[in-house]
Amino acid sequence: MTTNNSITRCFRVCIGLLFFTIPTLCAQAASPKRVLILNPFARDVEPFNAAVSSFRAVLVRELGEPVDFHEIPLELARFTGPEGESPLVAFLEERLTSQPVDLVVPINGAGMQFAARHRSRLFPEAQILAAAAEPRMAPRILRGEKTGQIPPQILDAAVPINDRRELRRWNISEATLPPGSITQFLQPSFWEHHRWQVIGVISFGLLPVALITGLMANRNKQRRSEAEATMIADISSKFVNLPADQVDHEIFDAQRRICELIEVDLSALWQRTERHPGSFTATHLYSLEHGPQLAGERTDDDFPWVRQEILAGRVVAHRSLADMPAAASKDREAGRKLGIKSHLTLPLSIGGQSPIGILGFNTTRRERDWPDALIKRLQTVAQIFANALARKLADQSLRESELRLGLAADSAGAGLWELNWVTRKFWANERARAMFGFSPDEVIGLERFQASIHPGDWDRVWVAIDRSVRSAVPVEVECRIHSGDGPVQWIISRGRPFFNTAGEPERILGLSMDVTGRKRSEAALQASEARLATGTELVGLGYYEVDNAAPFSFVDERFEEICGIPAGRQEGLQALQFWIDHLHPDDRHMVLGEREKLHDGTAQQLSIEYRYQHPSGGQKWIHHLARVVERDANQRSVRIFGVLRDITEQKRAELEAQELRDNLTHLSRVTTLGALSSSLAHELNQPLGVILSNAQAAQELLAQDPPDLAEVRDILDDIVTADRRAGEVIERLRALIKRGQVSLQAVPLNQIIEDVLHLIRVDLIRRGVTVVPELAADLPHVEGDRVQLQQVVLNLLLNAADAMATNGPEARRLHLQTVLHEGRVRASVRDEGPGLAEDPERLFQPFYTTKDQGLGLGLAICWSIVAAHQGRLWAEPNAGRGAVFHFELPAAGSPDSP
Amino acid sequence: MSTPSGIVHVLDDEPEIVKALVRLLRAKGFDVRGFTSVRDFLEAYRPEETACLVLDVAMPELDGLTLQRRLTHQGILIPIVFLTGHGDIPMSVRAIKAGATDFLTKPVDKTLLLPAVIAALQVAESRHRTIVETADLAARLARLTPREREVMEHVVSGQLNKQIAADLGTGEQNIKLHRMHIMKKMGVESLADLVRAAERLGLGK
Repeated sequence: MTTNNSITRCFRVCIGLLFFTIPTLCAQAASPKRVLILNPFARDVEPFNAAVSSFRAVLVRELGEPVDFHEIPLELARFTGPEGESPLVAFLEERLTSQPVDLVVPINGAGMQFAARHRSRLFPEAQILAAAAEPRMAPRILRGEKTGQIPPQILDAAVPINDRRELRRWNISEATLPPGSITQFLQPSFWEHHRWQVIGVISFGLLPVALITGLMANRNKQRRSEAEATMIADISSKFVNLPADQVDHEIFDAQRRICELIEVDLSALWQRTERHPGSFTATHLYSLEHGPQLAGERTDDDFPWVRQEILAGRVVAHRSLADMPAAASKDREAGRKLGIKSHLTLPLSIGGQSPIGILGFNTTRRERDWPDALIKRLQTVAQIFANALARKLADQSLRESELRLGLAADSAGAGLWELNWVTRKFWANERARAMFGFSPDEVIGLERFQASIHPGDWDRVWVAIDRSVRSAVPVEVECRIHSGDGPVQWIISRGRPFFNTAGEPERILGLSMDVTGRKRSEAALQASEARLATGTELVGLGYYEVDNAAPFSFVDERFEEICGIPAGRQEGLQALQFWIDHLHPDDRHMVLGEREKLHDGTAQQLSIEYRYQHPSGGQKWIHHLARVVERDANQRSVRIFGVLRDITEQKRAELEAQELRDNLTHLSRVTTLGALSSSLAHELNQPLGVILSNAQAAQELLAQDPPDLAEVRDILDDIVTADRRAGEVIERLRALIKRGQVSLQAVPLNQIIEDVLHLIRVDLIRRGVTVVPELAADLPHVEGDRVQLQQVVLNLLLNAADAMATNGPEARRLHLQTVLHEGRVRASVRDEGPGLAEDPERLFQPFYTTKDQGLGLGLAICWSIVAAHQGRLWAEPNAGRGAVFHFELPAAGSPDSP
Repeated sequence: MSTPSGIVHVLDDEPEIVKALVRLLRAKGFDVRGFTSVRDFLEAYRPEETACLVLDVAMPELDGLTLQRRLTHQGILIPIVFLTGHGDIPMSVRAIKAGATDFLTKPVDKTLLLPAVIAALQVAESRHRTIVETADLAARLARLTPREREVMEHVVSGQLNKQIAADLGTGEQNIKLHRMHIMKKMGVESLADLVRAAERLGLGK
């Protein structure tokens, strides 16, 4: 095809040449010369008339031939502008086409300009000679001498051009030329005169050469064009199914080939990156000299105008930076810095969307043009790149998305699967396969799937799947996996159906998770709850839970029974309120106080006993245990578990036992007091003796004459005093005997000991016992019952005295010591008697006695008194001889005190 | 009976008791002194005076029986009437054995107290008398020459003059002479009295 075209063209050229040559040869044959005189003014403007006439005369005379003169008054003053002239020009054109002229003679400058303006329309072939020019030029021109060709474009400037060499030849001074003329005529030469002949000869001679050359040039061009097209086709095919990871490499390669082929130094591809989302960053830079470049951080911020053009979808192509418009000054500057000479910049867009990138080609060595064909070709390349990049991006997104999905599934321990509804086959990922017991490669059809599900659950599973597909609802089903001999595994599966555009089910996408662990925990929890329920039932505990965060509370049946909460009342915190309302008023403060300690974090557990007023059962005693299971950040309780136990019976038994103990203690006290008879007698006999002697003295005095009444009055006073003292003694004794409530107070042990010593002073003297006291000063008080502690001291002292009864007089020393020992108050009673015969522990057992008339309860009761005071009573052999009895009590205010 | 002479010391650790007893006894015409501490009593006591002591047995400072013992060891033979807040047979027996005149329980009625005090004073007096007499005899003895002393010892042992003369290597007449002087110096009139006096002085055993 191409060869045909070349030959045709050659042929046309030849013919054209011929045709062109012949008429010009013939043109030498004469018809009268026609001269057009352009008069810018109206006809008959006198000075010009004369000039014209003179001109005409000279011309005719010199030429010696007939000349047709046509004078056209232009009346240019009539027209306001070039547009106004057009009717005139049209008229002239019509006339001149049919009758072409050989010479145009404008009268003056205006005429000259008119002629120049419209030359191409009116008289493209004619010569123009100003009337003011040398008249003798006219005939020579008409004879065929040329003043030279006027290059077409210069005429556009509407300024007549004259050849300087011509002017010299004709002896025309430039001063006589119309204003605004430019002198630049070419020297007519042999070539000018005989141009066409020469051309004809040459062309004939050169025809074959031209043909060949033309053919060759065409072929080169064709070849280059082919090469370009081939390259583009090649690039295009390369990019068709290009894996995303090779895109960048291929882009560089394509850039290289293009640069090499079209001889361009630099190619750059720009895209949006995450770093600079607002601009385009050069991601692929290829330099012909250096090869692929690291793009660096170059953004197109330096080229705002180009960017603007690109974003508007326009191609930017400039041969040189100077060609860029004024608005692109910044771009120009940037380009200059980079040494860019010519540049072509194309948008990368897909479909009709906004460009996703920019493709640019730059030269740095030479300037060049950008033919449209090339631009079109490169636009194709840009398209290819754009598509590839878009696909790569999509691919990347897809991959990332897949990765995320995979990670999520993995971290959740989930298996992913897809059921293709059309083929009824499953795709499952590694984990799903492992979960269901499929091997890594096997094809999973519905039967295979069914086989993996526990038979008892299959119906449920299938119904769920079916319903999902029918009603477009998600699948959610728990089922057991049939994995042969292993333990039962529970799987929960969730899936979602997808439909095609016709609304038919296409596939279900889902994931499954192994919940065996959870199921086992659930089972364990159920078992545990059952155990708890059984346990509490057997023990008779009422169980409750309070959750302050929810808030809710739970009480079980037994709790309701114990508290007498009527059935049918509403759930929740009302049960709690009922319980609070029915607490015994005397105990309520304590109970709520302890409960608050639990709530605010002061205490971790609650263990209290209190009275409760059951609505129908009267007063009950309740033992209440509770514990905080969960606390918030401020250590306030959030969840509490607790149990109640009805201990009314127990409490009653306890109280009875306590009463018995009290009786016993009282009995013992009384018994002990019995042993104090001598002391008691003495205590009472003292005041009685005073009274008796005083009274008898008074009697004597009154018998005298005169009686000393003053003395008698004194006597009576003393009698009264003594009587009162007797009363006090009796009172004290009564207090000692009285069975009172145990009252805990902070009491000074030293004082108690001294009181007792005072009480038994006489006894001790009678027995010849000397007391050696070593009572520590500043001994802290102990918390206890004064009377009971007196009893203990009394007992120990009397025992010690008894132990030494058979000793010699100098060996009846009773050492009495009080001391503070490790925060506890310790009293020790040391005797020099025979010492401990038995195991010290036996001493404190009830009914153990070494005395003939003892009950054997004294030490046992002392022991229990001391124990009740959170203390300890024990005996040791005395170093030397005898025994020592110690008792220790916590100091009042210490955490151990009762 | 008339109130015997002599001082009654009352010693009890309780001032009220002392006061009451002093009142009572004084009202009865005794010469009474009251003390609440042993030291005060010992300071005030004059052995040459006829006195008795009414003493509380149970005193924290020093129990009565111990005091009694101490007084005895010091040679103070003051008769004591013990008072006690409670009756205790062993104690009373002990006290009497140690030389107490009486042992009474408080509250003590005057009908018991007064006779006890009188008896004690009488004992004091008789003891006093005895002491005086013995002192007199001792003075008389001191006036004997050594030879006379010697002779006296033989005489009170019941030897005849003749025997004494033979033992001592002297004539019977001398002995008779000595005997006459001794009788005169010693202020006795019969051999029996001389023997009694010698006994009293602790001679011849």
